[in-house]
Amino acid sequence: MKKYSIAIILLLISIGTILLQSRSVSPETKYTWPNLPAPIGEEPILITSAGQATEGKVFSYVTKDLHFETDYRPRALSTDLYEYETLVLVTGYSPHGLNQTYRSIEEEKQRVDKLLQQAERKPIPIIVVHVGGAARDDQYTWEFLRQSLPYADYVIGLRQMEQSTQLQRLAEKHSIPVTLVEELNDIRTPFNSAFR
Amino acid sequence: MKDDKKIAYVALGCFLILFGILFPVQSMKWSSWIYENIEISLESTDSGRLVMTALSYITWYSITFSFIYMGAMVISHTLSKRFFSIWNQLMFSGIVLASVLVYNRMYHEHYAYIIHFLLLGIMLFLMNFIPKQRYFYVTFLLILVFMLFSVQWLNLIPALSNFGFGTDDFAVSMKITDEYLTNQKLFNTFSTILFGVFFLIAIIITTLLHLFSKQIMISRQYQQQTEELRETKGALIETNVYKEIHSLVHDLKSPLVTVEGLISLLSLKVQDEKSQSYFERISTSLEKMKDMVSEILYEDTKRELEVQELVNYVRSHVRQEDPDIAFHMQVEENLPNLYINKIRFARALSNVLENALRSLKDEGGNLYLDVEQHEQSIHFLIEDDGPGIDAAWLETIWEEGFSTKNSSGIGLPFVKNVVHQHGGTVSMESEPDVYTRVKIEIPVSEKEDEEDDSGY
Ligand SMILES: Nc1ncnc2c1ncn2[C@@H]1O[C@H](COP(=O)(O)OP(=O)(O)OP(=O)(O)O)[C@@H](O)[C@H]1O
Ligand SMILES: [Mg+2]
Repeated sequence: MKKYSIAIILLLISIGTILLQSRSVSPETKYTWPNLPAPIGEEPILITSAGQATEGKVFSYVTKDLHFETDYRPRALSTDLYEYETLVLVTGYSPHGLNQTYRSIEEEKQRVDKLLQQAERKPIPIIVVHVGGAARDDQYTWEFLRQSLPYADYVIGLRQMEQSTQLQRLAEKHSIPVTLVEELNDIRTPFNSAFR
Repeated sequence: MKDDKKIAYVALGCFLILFGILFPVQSMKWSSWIYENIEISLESTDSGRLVMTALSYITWYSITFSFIYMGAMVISHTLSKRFFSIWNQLMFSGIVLASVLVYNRMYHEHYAYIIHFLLLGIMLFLMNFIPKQRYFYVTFLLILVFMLFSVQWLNLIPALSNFGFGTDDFAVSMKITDEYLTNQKLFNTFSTILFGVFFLIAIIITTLLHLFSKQIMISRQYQQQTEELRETKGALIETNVYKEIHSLVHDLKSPLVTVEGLISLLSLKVQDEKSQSYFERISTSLEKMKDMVSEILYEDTKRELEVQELVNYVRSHVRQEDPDIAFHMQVEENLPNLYINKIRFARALSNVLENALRSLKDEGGNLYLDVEQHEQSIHFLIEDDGPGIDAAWLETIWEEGFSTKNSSGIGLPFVKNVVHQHGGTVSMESEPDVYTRVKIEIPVSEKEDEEDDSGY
């Protein structure tokens, strides 16, 4: 029995971790909105990424059949903003994505910061989208969320675990309306409500 | 194991881990390919390509982790005295988890630790069933690779995201792409199936290896038994020969006595000086011859002997060729002489030494032989750091026929017998895995004392 002990302890730890994670699956959704009561944005829309994760591109594809006038430019700069009437930031930190741009995470944060500043100045509405789900839960992604939420006018996320509770709290702090959807494809409704 | 050899193995282990951790740096093209292909499968709504990319992703990570796991195994194996002890397993798991931590920190990654808890648990469990012999590392690697290919699919099952699986960048990206392309249907089924398939393969391999090694062990045991049988036969013949010689030597005594009688008769008859001195010399030679015959014939015949000579004699009779066993001998200087039956006492010592050597055969270790004087007795201490004997067995081992090695089990009873015959005591103590010590005490030669008394 002794020789199995470490194996058994490790397997118990695994099960413990799984149980611990799953306990936080059902979050409260007190302060969320099913969608916006009145539109806040106008076209054309710039969709860009904060963190260079694949979610940006996926989001741009999901919203394609709403037939808005949108551009997905993951590396857009603040100088590109003059053509657009709404800024959509899709958050999600991807070390591999960032590697493709040969930029550091600091430079990426600066780019996002300048975009936010410029949008405020213009001023045009800012919508923050977080669709990475439970798995995209690392500290860097949260840094991007904390950076952009103070400027946001609307937040859309997935209703998954702890994460969304945290997102709600953050949005509440800055008094921004939040919508949480069950799955990726449901995101079209709230996004539509922001424009029509 | 020797120290410099140890250092070399630890260095090799560190190198393997380092190589594993730095693998992403060396394979930038590969990881870019994975990243690009995730995007391409999204753009072209090509879920087949996404599956290919997933395979590539799992291979890419498997290489990194294979190196880390192998390195950790080499290091922990080298640094812990007993293979697969609790300490060994803890060190192995610790090194792996620490390396994954370093990996995550270094690349700002978020690779799920739960995968490694699971994998370590499974591997340590399976290792109970694979032979820890010559091909250990090869079999370990084989099973590890299949297990890596199995458990990593858990990262790509979207339904498990809520439970802490698949938190690394590629896994998240692929899962969300799959959600867009097939609404999670593809990965939920495909990843689960592949997880199961590879898991099954790994289990089957382990089972086969387990059975195979058992088979080999049985046939080896069989071979050993045949050999033992032959040896016993040989011993039997030897005993017969010994008996023959014994009676021959015995028979020598009667002609000797006759010669002795006749010589004394002759010495009475022939009276010249020269012949008398010849007769005397013949008589002394006859006396010596009679002494020698009786030392061979009777067990309690003893004589004086230097300790060093005894030790040398024993050493030359104990075969010790294993390079993993270090023999340390320490004989106190200026020890008084022993008064013993050399042949039998030496056999007793060799028996104890052979037991110790036998216990070190598998893992190697240290064997100590110390001879020292304590007041009026001489102590022979034979110590080894092999597996040792459970406290519950410490009494039983002295019984004739008790053996855990499938041997005759007459070694220790013989030792006890001989030591008692020399007016001494023998005891054994052991703490399993730490030490096993046999202590033989015999009184200092009485004969020498007598001589000392008469000398002054
Ligand atoms: N140094 C030791 N370390 C571990 N176990 C030992 C040691 N010495 C003796 N033993 C145990 O005591 C048992 C009895 O030893 P003993 O010498 O009487 O028999 P044997 O060595 O098995 O057979 P034989 O000596 O007849 O070939 C051994 O089988 C072994 O289990
Ligand atoms: Mg023995």
